[in-house]
Amino acid sequence: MNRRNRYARIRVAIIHATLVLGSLLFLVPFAWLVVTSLKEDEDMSRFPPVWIPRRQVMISLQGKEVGLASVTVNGRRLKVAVIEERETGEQLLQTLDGPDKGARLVRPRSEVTRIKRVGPVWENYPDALKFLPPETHSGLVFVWNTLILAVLSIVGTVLASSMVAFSFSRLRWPGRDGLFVILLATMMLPGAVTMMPVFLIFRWLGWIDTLMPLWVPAFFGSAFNVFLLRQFFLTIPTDLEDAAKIDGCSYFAIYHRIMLPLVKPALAAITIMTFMGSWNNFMGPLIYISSPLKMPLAYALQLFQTAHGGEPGLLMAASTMMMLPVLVVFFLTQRYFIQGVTLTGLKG
Amino acid sequence: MRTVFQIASLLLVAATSLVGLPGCGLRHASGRSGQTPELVVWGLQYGEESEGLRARVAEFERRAGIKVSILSMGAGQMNPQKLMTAIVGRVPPDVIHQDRFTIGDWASRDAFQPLDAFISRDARAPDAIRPTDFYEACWAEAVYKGKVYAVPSSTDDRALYYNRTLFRESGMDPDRPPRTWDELLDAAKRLTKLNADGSFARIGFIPNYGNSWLYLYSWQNGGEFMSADGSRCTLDNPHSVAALDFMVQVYDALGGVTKVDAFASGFQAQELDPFLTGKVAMKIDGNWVLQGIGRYRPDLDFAVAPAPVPRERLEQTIGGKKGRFTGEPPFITWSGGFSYAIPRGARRSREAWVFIKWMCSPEAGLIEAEAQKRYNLAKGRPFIPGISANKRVNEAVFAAYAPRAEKFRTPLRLFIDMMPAARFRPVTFVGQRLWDEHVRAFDQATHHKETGKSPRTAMAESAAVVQKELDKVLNRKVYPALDPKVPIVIAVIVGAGLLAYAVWRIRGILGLGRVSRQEAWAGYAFAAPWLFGFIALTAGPILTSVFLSFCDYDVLHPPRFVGLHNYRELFSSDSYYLTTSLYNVAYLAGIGIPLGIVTGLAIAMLLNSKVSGMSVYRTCFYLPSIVPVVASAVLWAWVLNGDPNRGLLNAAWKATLSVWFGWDPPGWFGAAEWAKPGLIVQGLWGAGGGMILWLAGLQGIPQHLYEAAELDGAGVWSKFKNVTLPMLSPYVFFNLIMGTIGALQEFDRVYVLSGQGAGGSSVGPVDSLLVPVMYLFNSAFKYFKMGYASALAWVLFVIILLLTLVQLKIAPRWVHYEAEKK
Repeated sequence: MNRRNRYARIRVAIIHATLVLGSLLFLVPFAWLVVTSLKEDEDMSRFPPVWIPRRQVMISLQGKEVGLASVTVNGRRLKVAVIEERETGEQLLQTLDGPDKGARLVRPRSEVTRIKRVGPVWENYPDALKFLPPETHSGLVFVWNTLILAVLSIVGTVLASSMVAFSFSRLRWPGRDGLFVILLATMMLPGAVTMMPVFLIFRWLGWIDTLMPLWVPAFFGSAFNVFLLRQFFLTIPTDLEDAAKIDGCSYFAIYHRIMLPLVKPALAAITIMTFMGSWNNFMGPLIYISSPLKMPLAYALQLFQTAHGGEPGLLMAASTMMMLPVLVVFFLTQRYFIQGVTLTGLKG
Repeated sequence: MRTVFQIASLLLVAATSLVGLPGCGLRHASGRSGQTPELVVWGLQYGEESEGLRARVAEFERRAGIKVSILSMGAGQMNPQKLMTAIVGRVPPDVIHQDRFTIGDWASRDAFQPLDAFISRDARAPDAIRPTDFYEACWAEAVYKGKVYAVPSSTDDRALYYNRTLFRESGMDPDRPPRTWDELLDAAKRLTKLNADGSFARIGFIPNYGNSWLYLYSWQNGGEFMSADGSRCTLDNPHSVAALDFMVQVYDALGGVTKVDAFASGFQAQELDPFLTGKVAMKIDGNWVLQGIGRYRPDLDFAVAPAPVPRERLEQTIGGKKGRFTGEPPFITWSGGFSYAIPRGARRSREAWVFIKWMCSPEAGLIEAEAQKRYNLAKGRPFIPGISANKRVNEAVFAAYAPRAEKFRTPLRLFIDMMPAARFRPVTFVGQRLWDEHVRAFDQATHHKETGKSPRTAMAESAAVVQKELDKVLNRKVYPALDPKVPIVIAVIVGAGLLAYAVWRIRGILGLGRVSRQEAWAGYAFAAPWLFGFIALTAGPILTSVFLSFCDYDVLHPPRFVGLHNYRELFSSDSYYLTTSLYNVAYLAGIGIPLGIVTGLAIAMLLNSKVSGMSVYRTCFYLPSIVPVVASAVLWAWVLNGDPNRGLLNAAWKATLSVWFGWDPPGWFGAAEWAKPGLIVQGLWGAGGGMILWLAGLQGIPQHLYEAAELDGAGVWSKFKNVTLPMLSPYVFFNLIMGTIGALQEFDRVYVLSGQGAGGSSVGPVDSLLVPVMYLFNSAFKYFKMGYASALAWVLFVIILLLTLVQLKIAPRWVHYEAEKK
């Protein structure tokens, strides 16, 4: 008995260890993202990597903010203040201790070691926003556009998909079953097939460089969500409906008052999935949007990357800012999220 | 639950009130309806450093009373796909600042407006644009088939920079730079210095380091790349081959291109530029390098001379007799640069023309120079003006703003004086392809040890590729333009047929009782959104797409019916793209999907072992899968940076695998053979998303099966193999099907990770990340070959269909369905 107990305990310990290790592995890139967004440019390319953000120690010298550094003079390590950066790659320094305190000297940048202390470089965040065109109001326009897209897509999808699903599951009409097969078949169709003609339609409507092509289709329902909701509607017994009909309820009232409240979990799942989908949508804006004033976040981030790929601090700060709302939504609605995935059988 | 739903319904209400807003609200924000007219300009580099440009534009706004909106993001960075989409979508900018060498390509597609009418209209005006004011090379580069499509703005040209200190050190006369190719080769050898171990300490001259390319050497030797009428690619003419041979000779004399490249891979930029640090003694480069020297190494003792030429050219005669270079300038250079154009469909082309005239005027040039000089001085940098394509601007700016120091003034004068002898890249719609191929020929020939190719074979191969592209376009015109009535008639017939069928089916309603008739109408009403969407955005487009796949259609011109030509092209002349993209996607799916399944399942099984803290672990594993694709790709481009000092994974690699086994860290997205594994690693990070489903599957396995297996003495592995796996097989099947469909439509992260936004011509190194949808997207929205892209889409669809059918067919052999489960 005792031995078996010990064996079970070891087993649990091993599982825990594996899980902790695995979790860390999956979380490391997040940590790297945040750390990079808080590091000084100088610490970006170092081996071994710098994990704790550090920043230059600044001191006030004759009313000027200057960086603190150290330099070796005649075999002695001296504390100095960096007075001036020169075009020649040299620095003008002023000693702060040692025998000739206050003396000035010039040294190549490579010989001067900057003194740093642990501390995050928060400036990367405002700096990243500063690089955005002024008319985007520090990127708020992107957030606003993304929100509009998310909200309209959610409204459209939830409204249209539930209506259509209601029709396909609770109402009888000629051609229904045939059309349902077609609806299922459209799920198989790669988006690439209709991409070009749909572009031509939106061009004909004059919707290029507007947000319309990105949210209007949501109001026609999505095949997958219709299918999902139909399965839910089918599980609802007919008694409620019959009673309502006898009371003279209209079909809309049945849909609105009886059916919708019963499939709330599914609607919540669809809401979350649609939110993720529109937050993520990249190819749509890539095709249709060219003005910064109409760009959603995902596309704006990609453009930021092409422009500032060489400045990881700014890029990672921008990335973090784009990711944050999604993570917040996830933590707030984690249960429905997981439920939704299980319901829909969708990956992420 | 309730709260979430309440929030959702609140959002619904808020949103419904917003519905009308984006349409009108945003259009308003774009400012077209405002009081002052607004001119939208794309392609100008507007940033912190461009104070001069800002002043130039501001002065225009003040004088003309027109507001200029310079897009400094997105399309403003000149992704050709965005510009073409905007032009096709009828929302083009009013002015586009465009690389001159692509003008021929844009003009051939009718994407830009000819400017001849504007030019001749104000021929007499004081601010007229006069072709004679411009250098011939610059002006001719903007002319396509006899029409002017752009006004040249800036320009640049190339010459030999050499380090005088190193000349003296090597016992050479610093006032006597090499003038011929032979002298150049000789000087290159004398200036090269080796370390004790045989590696380079310094190289005298690298033929393709700097900015000369095969183009310059070839022109120097009298080679041309295209026939005069533009119908033939003459890349493999003997003079160009001899020029390439000279480049190969120099590389070989230095010890081979591989050794030189290894040295060059350590080169850095700005203050550590190898020419500034004396690692390279001579280079052929553009006038812009002067600014870098002035900023980072003003004390460098350097000089500039015309790029050395073949001896024959310098002497002009052969053995005293007239040669082929008699009467030609002894030294030449080549120039590139930018120009202003007005896209087709621009709303304010008249204002656009006024803007262009201003931007090209000497007065504006002086304003820019003044503002930029002030900015540079404030930053403690010298100001060295660039070169304009307009001779008058150059003279005015040089007189007032040329640097005082002779060291910079003389070279700048030389660069300006060389301009009349400048050559330019041929104006052709295959310009980009020609460029790519001449680079490839150079690459193949210099690596002759590996490829075994002589300059002649390499050039002949590249010429053939360009010729194929040329023939494809030149032979296209044989197809007749399609009568616009044809598609309409087809649409009407198909529509009428469908309508008749629908009516015939619905006819039954009339025979129904009152209640069911009401129900039927309600049914149609509720299904209406989807029905409408299906007809407008699915069924209609499918038919259109089938139709388009038999057409040649670029949207700007009426479609031409080409029969099966698009499909034939896809499988014959373009089979490289089709096979490469399918190979890449097969690689990604073949390795990525099984790995993803194994990872997801492994995590799920660990989590299923009823340990405490499961929800915390679950969150940790799940979190990466909800990260937006673009953000994830941006992050992983950084994590998988090839440089171990920067990339996290390579840092770990260097600290472990390199130490233990001596393996060098891979280049990931920078190396052809590692780009796909990189993509797979990035994908695995999100594998936790699949775990939720696996967990549901695992929890659905009846416990008694395990108990029975244990009674039979089954071990852990045996239980997994005989119980878990068969019971989970439906989930494996589901993942396989969805994974395959998803993999074949891969796009977003490939776009981000392969840097397509920057307008790269290859997707990942050597097309290693070219996936079918990426190729389709480029065909459709970069080149607007709508018919061709539709054909590709149908090929893709057939492949997806076949794969799914095969999987469904094989499924019964291994997928185990419980009787009570479906």
